[in-house]
Amino acid sequence: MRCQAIVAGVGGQGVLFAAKVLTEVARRNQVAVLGSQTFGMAQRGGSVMTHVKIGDFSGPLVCEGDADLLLGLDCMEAHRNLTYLRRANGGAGAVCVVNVAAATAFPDQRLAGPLAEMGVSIHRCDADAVALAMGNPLVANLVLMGFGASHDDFPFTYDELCAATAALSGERQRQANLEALARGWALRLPATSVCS
Amino acid sequence: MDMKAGDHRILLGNEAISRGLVEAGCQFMTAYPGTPSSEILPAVVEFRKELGLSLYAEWSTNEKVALETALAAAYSGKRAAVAMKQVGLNVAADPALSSAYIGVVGGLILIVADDPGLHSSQTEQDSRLFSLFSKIPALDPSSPQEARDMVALAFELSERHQIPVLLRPTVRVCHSEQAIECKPVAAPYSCADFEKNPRRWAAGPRARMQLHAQLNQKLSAIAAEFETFPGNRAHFPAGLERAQLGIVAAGVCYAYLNDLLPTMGLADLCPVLKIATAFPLPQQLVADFAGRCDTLIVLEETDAAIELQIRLAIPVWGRLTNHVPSHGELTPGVIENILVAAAHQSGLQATARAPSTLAALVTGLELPIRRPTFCPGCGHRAAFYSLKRNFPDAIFPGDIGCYTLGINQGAVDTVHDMGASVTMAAGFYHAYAQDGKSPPIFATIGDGTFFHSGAAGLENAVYNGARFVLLVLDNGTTGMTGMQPTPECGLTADGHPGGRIDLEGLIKGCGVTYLAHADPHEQGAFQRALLDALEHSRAADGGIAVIVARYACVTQVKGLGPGRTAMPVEVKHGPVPRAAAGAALQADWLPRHQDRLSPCAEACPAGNDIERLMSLAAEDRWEEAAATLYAEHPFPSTLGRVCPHPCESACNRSGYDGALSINAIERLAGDRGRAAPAAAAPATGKRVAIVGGGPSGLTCAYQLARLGHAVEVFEALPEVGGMLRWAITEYRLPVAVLARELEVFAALGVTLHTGVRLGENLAWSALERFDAVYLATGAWKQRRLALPGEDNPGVLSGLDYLARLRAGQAPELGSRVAVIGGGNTAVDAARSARRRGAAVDVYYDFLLAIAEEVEVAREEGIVFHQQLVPVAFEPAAGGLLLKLRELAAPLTSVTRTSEVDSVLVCIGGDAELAYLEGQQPGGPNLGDQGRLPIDAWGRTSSARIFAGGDASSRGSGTVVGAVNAGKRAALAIAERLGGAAIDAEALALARGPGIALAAAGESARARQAGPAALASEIKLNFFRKVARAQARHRAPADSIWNFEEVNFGLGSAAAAREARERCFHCGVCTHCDICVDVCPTGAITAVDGAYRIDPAKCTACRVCAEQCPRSAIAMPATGVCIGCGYCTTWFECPSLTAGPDGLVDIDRRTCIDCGMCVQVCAQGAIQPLPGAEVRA
Repeated sequence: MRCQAIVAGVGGQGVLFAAKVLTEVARRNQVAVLGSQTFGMAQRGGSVMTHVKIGDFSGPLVCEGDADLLLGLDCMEAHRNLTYLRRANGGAGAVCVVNVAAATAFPDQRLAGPLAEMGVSIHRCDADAVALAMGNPLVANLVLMGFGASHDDFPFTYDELCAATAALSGERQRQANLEALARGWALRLPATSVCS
Repeated sequence: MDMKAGDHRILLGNEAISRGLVEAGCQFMTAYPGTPSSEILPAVVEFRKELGLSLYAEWSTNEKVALETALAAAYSGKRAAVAMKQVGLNVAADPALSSAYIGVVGGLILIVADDPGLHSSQTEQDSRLFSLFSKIPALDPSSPQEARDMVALAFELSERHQIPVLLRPTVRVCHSEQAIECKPVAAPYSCADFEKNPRRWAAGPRARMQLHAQLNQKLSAIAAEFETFPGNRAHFPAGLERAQLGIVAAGVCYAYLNDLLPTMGLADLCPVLKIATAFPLPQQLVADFAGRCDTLIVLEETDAAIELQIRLAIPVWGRLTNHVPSHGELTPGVIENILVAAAHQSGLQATARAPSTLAALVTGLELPIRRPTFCPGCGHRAAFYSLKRNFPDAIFPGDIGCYTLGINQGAVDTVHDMGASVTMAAGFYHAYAQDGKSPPIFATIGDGTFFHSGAAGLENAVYNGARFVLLVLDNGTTGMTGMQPTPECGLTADGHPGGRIDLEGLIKGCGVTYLAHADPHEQGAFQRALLDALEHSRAADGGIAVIVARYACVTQVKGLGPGRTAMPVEVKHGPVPRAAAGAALQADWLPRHQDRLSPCAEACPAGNDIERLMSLAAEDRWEEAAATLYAEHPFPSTLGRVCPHPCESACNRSGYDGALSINAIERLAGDRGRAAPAAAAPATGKRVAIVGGGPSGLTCAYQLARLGHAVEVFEALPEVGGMLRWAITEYRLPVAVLARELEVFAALGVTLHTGVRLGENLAWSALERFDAVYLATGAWKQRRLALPGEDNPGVLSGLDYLARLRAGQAPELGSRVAVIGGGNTAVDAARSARRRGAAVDVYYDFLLAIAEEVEVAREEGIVFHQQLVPVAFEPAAGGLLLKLRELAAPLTSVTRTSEVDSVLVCIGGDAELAYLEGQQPGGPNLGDQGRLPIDAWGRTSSARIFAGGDASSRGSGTVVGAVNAGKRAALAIAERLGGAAIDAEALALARGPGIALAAAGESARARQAGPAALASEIKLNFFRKVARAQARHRAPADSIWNFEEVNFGLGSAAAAREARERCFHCGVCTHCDICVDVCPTGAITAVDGAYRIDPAKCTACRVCAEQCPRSAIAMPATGVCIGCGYCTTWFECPSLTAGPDGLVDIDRRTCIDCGMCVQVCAQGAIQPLPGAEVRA
């Protein structure tokens, strides 16, 4: 297993927890993992971005152009971090899973062509709406990951995410967190590639 | 998660360090929180609990304290550690340098986390350079794993050489996660055993010199050890004998290299020397490595600590040679660029990633920078918002922590270092005070920062006499770094029993005497508190003012916290009054500076421009103040003494801190001003007769004369003045004062005939030569009570008594006098009788007299009997028996009797209109009420005859009412004589009784004036409470012996101060420039004494109109979001989100229903959600 992922969002959205889930998946698979988190100023409503490097890596930061996965909890932050995604280079393309309101465009039309040319696969869903409907706006991060795992090209399986989430959750939150993953998974739609 | 020794866990670098500490037997740890070091101590506490260790841990109040505390433990032989961020080491610099000399017994690790790239710090300082400076050995880990492993090595090194060791991780080590194998605790517990040795622990300068020599020896030995330190290793690619470019790498740069070199095709070409011991540098190791290289490049963070120590003949590239950027974080991308260039320069080929086509496109999106901001619902956002909104031009020294974010609200001007808000506020004060200036200064500091180093600065500021306002924003925790406890809460880092420090006690202990509390959630009260504090800081006997603003950290308490009520809100959306989508708001929705009437002026029957009077009085411009009054009537000194002053009842200040002393100021203006206004118009040749020389007739004469008419006044009594001369008493209105007022008539050429009574010695025919006649003969006929015994000799008319008193012919009343009536005449009669030595009782149904006069009468010993009225007067031995009943009792019943010598009946007069019988046909008809019927302008049924005052159907029984009537009649007469037609609307003062002649004749002011400004429209936060100025009075004990004037009035200084400090100038622009200051877009500028609105800049936010202290800006509230951007820019709650059309909505995901934004939108678009469940 080897995966470089970026989780991007805004302070308070659970970016750190989402990244922790990915890290925990690696640990449970006994694969080396490095992560790099953001604390302090940036947590106060600012842009927050976390790197997760699973596999045989030494440095904690993902290089721009190297990421296999971009998990965007916020549409603007997802745009900002698109530059981390890698080209397909003949193999499987990078994956971008984005939480975006139904009425909002993603990606911006100016980027659609280049992303398609890079072979990036984009999956979008309105995780906020789902989480809000659950009465728990803070679980949008898990809805998004559940939704991501419903696609074959997502680097993590739904079962892996559930096991890691359960392990990381406190008693009181565990059920709600797992339900969020399940709701996201249930949103499954045909993968929409910008190529199509 | 199961966390037992022996397993692998994902740990943050900081947690890995903590794990290393407990595994290595650290028994004592202190720290001060600061990113990126904050997680170390809490993790130590967690591991301690998990492993059941005895380990003392504390959050110290600052870094200096933390290091000194830990040093003592190390002196005692225990393994100790202290953690802080890089700038914290500056605070701890003093003990750090001495600790190198004096050394330790138990191992001491000084963990200092650096922040290359400034993710959450003030400086990119390299703590390894501090180790060179302080001669403390430094270790530089490249990963969480290595950081953990280094801890045990550091303890051993520290104890072996009896020297503290610096462990310096950077942010990417601290905040990286890695799987770490947790091991059991290796070291035994050690008991404290402080061995006394004053020559070491308390070394003086001579001993210190020896210690310095020893320190140098220790460093030599350590340098030798570092040649084989496990973290230092050279890697030469297999088969490479000599390299064109060798890389020396330290810290996380080394980790990046491992990933980068293979992808760049340099793995087989570039040898790498990893250095973990930044100081002292293992020189031999470096020399051996360099011996096989043509060139070296050094990759290290944050500065050039290793590079500076390398002494080689071959080229060494790095920051000193500009091969490496001298600021900013060395990310993999930056290192890649450095290596590409260095490889090229040394003749190697490096493969670089193809430049991303996306980067330029993403930049082209111009995504807004999402700056850090206060959490949704944080009350302290509102504190900064208040500061900027109310004191836009103040100097705002700020401080470290969450409150740095106040910069977003524009209320943080400086952020320097911990505690610098207080010290810099003092510095700003002294710098300006030197120039004789005192700009408002508001310093802000959080509770944690105040405990850290705010108090020291406050002591200094108090001691040296600085003056400013300090806001201690108390959220009950150390918010920015992750909710560490503060001394105020009494909780300690590891749960050991601690003390609780009272924040207020500490502030007072610094010598502060002004300490207030304010809740930023309540904007009005908070603004008020700010203003009061500012006043104190500027008062002659004031000083530093401190406000403690408590609002629990909403992130820590996960919501509004106890005692606060949720107020869900909504943003109203609806049609926006724009000409077209995207266009500016329609013109009549934009702000206009438009004066409105003050309520005092609306209430004044005399039509006085009271607001203008106050403006002039405030500046001691008494001549102009008098002229303002003389424009309306000739009696300012008189009305200033006898008017029931409805203006004061209407004063918007009356519900705040007492009405303005308008009456006293009018009096002073009259007394100080020259009573000689110019005759306004040239002679018209028209003649007017005024019958009756009382206040109504004289006012009419005055205004007609000023309009150029020839006026003659016919007065029946020996002197003019009417009630002013013959009824109102000397001690309220001295004859001399009245005489001075009357001087104006001679100046205006008005002829005053006295002793001439119409129908007696003045025939109607004599009035035929006049073009108009004004009948103002008053109401002098004493009303009768129609009670038995009313004609007894001891029962007198009060009015008649007062007139005879004024004429010097008053009858003796005896020692017991009863006064019947509750009006001003009754009180005057009673007080006069009292002055003649009588004991006086006043019986009345309703009290209608001026309240202040009644109060003084009571003080003079007069007894008032409420709702007790006479039934009959019977002769009694030596006087009269007065029979009385309760007002509610049957008419003939007697409730009470009283023996008196005299009774003064003061129940008002009727008009004596017998003279009408002798008039010519076509004269005015007498109405059935016994008074002359007139319209609002004094017109009777006869075109030539006008009437007013108490003789008329509109008589009010007050001097000010008579003045009103005289003015109105003068205009009507002038109109009849060919003058201007009466424009009732232009003359009116809103719905009030008065008319304003000055407004009609001299300015367009009255035409502009809208309805009077209500008290609710005044922004009280701009006005501090000031007690009403009280006029001095002659003491009752003295005043009852003579007829000297009792009320001395206000002195001019007191009156000017009253006008200056207390008049709100309701509805009238005073050019205070607050609108200019509060306009968030700078759309308002002062030009030529007026304000200009730039429609291109105005966003129609309506803040100017809302913040105008006196409601002189007209701008309707739309009640819907107009997308002005004010709330999102200046309040900047993340839960207020603007859509693409700029219209704002609530982000329900993050909103915690604090409801504060309702107070922000001046358009009224943010409203409490109707019917929403409000929960505590």
